[in-house]
Amino acid sequence: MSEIQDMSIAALSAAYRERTLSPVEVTEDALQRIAALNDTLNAFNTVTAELALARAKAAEAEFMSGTDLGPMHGIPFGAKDIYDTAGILTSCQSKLRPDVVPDVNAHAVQKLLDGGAVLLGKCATIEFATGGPSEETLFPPARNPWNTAHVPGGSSSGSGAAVAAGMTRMALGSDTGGSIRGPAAYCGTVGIKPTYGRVSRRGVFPLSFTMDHCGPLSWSVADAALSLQVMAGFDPLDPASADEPVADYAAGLDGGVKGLRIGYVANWLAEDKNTHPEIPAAIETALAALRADGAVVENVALSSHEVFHACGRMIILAECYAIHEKDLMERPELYGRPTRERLMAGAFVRGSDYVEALRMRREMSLQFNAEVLGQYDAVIAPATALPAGRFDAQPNDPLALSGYLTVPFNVTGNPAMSVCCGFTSEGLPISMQVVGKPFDEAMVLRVGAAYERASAWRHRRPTLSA
Amino acid sequence: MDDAAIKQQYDAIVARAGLSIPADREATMVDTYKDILKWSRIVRNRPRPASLEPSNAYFLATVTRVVDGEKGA
Repeated sequence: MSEIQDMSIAALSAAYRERTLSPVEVTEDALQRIAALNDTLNAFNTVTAELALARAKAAEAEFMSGTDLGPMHGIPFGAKDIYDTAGILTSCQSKLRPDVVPDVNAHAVQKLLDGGAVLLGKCATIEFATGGPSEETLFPPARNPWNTAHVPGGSSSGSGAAVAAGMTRMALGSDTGGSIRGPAAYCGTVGIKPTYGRVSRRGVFPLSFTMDHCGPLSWSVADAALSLQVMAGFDPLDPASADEPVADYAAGLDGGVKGLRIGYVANWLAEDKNTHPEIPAAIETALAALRADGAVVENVALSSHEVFHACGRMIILAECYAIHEKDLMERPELYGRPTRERLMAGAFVRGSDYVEALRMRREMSLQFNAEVLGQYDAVIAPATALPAGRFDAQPNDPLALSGYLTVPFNVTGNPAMSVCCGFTSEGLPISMQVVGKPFDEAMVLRVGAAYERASAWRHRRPTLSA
Repeated sequence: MDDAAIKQQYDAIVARAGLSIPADREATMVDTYKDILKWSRIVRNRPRPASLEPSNAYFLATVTRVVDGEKGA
């Protein structure tokens, strides 16, 4: 990795303003890294090098003329290939969309571009953000930079791989049942799913209207705070957008955890007989670090993960089936098998199942927010029960989620962020989630930043030959 | 419900939905249907007070105002 690739968004930003570094140098450096590694990792489906360099040159000229568009000005980023990008292929990784070139950017992309950020290209995704890695899709599946025989998680697979490999400090993802936090966990990056409605979903290909969330994957919590700051806010044209004030996310990052009350969801790993033995130990060590910094950490018991899982998956399956029903009937052969079969499972959900799941969702959200977050400032939960699996050992079950423990916070809608908290003896990342009250992303980021300072995981990067 | 009854339901649903499932994947998809039936039992067999009606269940403002209201009560 180059010196530039190790610099945080804040450090790059400062260097631009001190005129010690130019957005052009940083963008060229990122494009070189992508050129060197993308054949190995397949993290990007489309690289928009010319556009990126033109935007970087414009940013350089803006800085020279005294125009300052904020913390993302001149910062390169990638966008999951389900985000609409004007004039750039938006394929959803699918043979159903080999030539779909939108006229308009997704709202979140446009906000970043308005803030001067530099789009490097489109990151690989699991096809239509659901299913599993497949060689049958329009582009090959992304690979895990920590071990390319392993999956990077999904569905924001290329975003996780690109950030971990140092191709970009930040890439956009989407999260319906864990598709930001899962790949962040498997790739050892940060990934924040903000509160439902916090970031506009306009222009992002839907998977499940009421469960879809948009957010960034990044190398550090501070990078996440700066990225989310630009993306967050009310969008009157997104029917689910929340008209709630946006806090200054960077302001509280140094606040620490002294005096905070933090609950730990201990029962999910304990109830899963397949839990990897090194994961509970890594999380316990992380909790000890938070205690050492002055937090009061206590175990809390939530409903079984299976109950959250049933509720969330019924909603997702019903909604995604409605979106894909026509194509599943008329041209199913164009989907890769893992995506096709998972989408088809939506046909098995009855209308009344869906309604009952929505009612249950309200109950679970009320319980979690009243009974748990009524007593605690934040909650820690494991992100996954397993580390990243191998490509040659992918489950045959169309509904398998590879050990993700993320869907509960899509059900409740609370902000939740994956942060790396260790590695298995095989060198694969382990992560935990930090969960906050609705619209309190600032607390999630504060706790995550405190843990990041107390640990050394951000200094460890995948060994890649480039 | 025995396996034959489940298979009969499965066949009817697949036919009604107009889905084509390759023969070599049918057993897997029948198992998937069984998983959905299990989830269906989980979401259905619960108390259903009127307050748990589903409109806007996913809008957090409708959750926080109830939580805040209970705190103030």
